[in-house]
Amino acid sequence: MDSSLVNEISREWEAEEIPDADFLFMRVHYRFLDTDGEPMPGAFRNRPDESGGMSVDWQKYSTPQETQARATEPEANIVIEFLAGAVREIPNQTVVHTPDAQRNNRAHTDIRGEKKRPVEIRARFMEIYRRVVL
Amino acid sequence: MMNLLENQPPPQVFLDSNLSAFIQAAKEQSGFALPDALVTPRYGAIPQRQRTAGSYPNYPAFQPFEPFVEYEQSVPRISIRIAEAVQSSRRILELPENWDEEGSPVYSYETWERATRFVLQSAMGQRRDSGVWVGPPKITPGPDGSIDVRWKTSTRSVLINFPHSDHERVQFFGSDGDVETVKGTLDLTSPNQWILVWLMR
Repeated sequence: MDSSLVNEISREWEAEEIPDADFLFMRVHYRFLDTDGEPMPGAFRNRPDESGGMSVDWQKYSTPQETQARATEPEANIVIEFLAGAVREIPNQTVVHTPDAQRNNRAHTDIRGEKKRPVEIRARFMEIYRRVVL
Repeated sequence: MMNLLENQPPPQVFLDSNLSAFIQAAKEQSGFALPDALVTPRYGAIPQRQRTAGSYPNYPAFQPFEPFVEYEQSVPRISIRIAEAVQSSRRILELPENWDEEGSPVYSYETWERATRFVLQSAMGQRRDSGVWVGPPKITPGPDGSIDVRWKTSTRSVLINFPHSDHERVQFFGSDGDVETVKGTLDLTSPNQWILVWLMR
């Protein structure tokens, strides 16, 4: 079978269950960094599209370097990480593996749930993240 | 993470008249009277002793005391680090519409002033009552034109969100990262210094 055809078929990845102990990597653009170069609470936000989730990458299918490289301007982003289980302990937040075949990103994952209010949500994300040194 | 607790008297800054908002904020703090101008004369008089008629009309002790003029201590003082944090946060007002490429509105002066007035009042009150300055918070743009104020010590943190509309409640959430949390809404017309007392415990 032609290898390109094999690749095309294999891009229809199935969604998987992400263990609590696995890390999720997230890009943070410099506009969301404070004067110390750390993420500000406003960095934790949902995409404006219909699915309304916060995009992260699952460590099973991505490295922090690969996560950074997927950005339009990789050098304008830092990468942070948090445990899937820690995210699930934040009120009303769910972790859903949503592999993105169009962008060839099998690691793509959504953190769904309202993040603007109450302020507790963003405060808790600020507590659980850790910056990744690339 | 920077230790925001200061045990030594920090360098302090005299505010110039351009930062009138700081002075106004401090004046609104109950029991924290401040002069209106940089240097304000205060007029007073030592109470006149009761005169006794008779033998010693020219004794100086029985002369009425002259009114005196003395100058109060000058401008209100505030931690230079807090003043710098507040001043630098003005850049939030310069962010254009859609600065985040996700439809964020511009930030209003009124929202910024509400947030920074709270910072100043709380910090000055804490200093007055405890003798210690709290470290400077991080003041950053929040969602939908709101402003976030976040204080963090080595053991605790608190995030306070000031909405764009003053009809919406100011929300806060504090945590020691373990088991103790505080959360709710703030009434900005009341003293809320307890938040810093909790933070610095």
